[in-house]
Amino acid sequence: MTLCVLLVLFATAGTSAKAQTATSADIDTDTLIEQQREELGLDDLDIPDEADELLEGIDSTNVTVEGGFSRLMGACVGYVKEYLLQGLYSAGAVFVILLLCGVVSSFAERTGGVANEIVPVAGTLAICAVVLGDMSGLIGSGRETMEDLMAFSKGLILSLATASGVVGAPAGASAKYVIVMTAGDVCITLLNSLFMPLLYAYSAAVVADAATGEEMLGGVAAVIKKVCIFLLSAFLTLFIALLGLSGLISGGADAVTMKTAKLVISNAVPVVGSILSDATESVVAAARIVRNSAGLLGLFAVAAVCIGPLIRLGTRYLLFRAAGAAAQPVAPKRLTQMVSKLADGFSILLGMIGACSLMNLISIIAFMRLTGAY
Amino acid sequence: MEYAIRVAGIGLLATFCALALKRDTPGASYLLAAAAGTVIIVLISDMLGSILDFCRELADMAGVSGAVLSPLLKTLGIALVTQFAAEASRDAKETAIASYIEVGGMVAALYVALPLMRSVVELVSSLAG
Repeated sequence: MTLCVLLVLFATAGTSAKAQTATSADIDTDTLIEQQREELGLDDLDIPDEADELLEGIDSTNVTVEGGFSRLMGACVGYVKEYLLQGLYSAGAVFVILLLCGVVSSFAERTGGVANEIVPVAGTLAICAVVLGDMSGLIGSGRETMEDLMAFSKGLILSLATASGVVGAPAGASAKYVIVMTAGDVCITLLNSLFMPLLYAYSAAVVADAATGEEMLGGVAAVIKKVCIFLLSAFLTLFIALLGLSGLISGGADAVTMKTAKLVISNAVPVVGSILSDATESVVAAARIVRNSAGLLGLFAVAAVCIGPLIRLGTRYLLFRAAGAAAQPVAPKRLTQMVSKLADGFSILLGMIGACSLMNLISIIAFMRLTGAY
Repeated sequence: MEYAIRVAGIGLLATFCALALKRDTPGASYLLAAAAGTVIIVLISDMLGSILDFCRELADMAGVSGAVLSPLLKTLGIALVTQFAAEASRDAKETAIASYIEVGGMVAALYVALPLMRSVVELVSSLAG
């Protein structure tokens, strides 16, 4: 079905390209670029709000590497300041809870009294309330980010695939399009039905381990974490391998098609044929410019969507780890270990969003690289 | 520093006096130890108050609701009081009373921590659901 849609789009774009060349061979490149932008629907791309705000004033006609990069860097500094402050409060609260528990349990440590039983349970509950409250908000915004990203990518990748078809890689573009769309759907399904439940299970196992002191539960949490990391790496590796393979298989076919088409156009009609062939080259060159500028804008948009949640999760991970480490000399070991392991839960979520954004970035670059662009 | 010196001084003085009394009047020695403990707790209560205020301030800044901090502080307080009382009873060789105090403390701590448990359960349900 997707392939059919793509073929129709390529045909439409191809027909319009031919029509342009036939009617006015002297149309300038700017007009061609403008027409192709309209046909590819680049003005109607549903850019997520965060990216739209961050890249305000930048579109596919005026995007530059320096401009986009400087905006991203500026946003990074702002995000780091904002999230560091937010995270400091939460990590500070955890540190205070750890200290309080440490002070109380130090009374009971030598005598082995009842405080040794009460303090870890009370501490676990309080830390849970602080960290899981934070995690719940971050999971919600992380899920939203990934869904926004996938929705934006669907529109952008379709435009890039169509442009790549016009540029002269219809087979490669359609193969990559199918892989990217399928991988995107699989990614969202996996996140919602596998990775998120695994993250909840991991957090539950860590909390239960701290509250009861059962080492087996700690082992279960470690296994869940390893499974998450392995599955994410395997998914990304498979995706990259499939994209690479699709390029290898369809690259030859596209090259032959393009050469044959050029030869037929140049030789079929004397004199006019060579004019037509030159005009087609102008259309292809314009399509390449449009595709690459749209791809560049897409890269910055994807980065703009992901950068906030990634920095937020990264700062939380580091700060909770630091709180656990700082309280280690006084706080009960079970509690400091729990804080460190819960911080690892943030790193798992960070890995999920990172993998999702990396997948999108690789997809865009793969389309931009078709037929040697960039 | 001043508080620490006072606490240490009172502790040492009480220990020496208790040692002197222990041979002839063990009951008085025990009473002296209990009194010293009480005085020390009263002395550090000012500092504890400041620490608790700071914890509340930090919890406010971090957006931690009173529903989390207050049960934690109460539970830790119960743990401390139970620990002191049970140790004092053990010092007086009343291990049965010490056990009762511990059981009572445990139940009281669980009761006070109930709102905290409830909020964690609600949080976990919202995460899963």
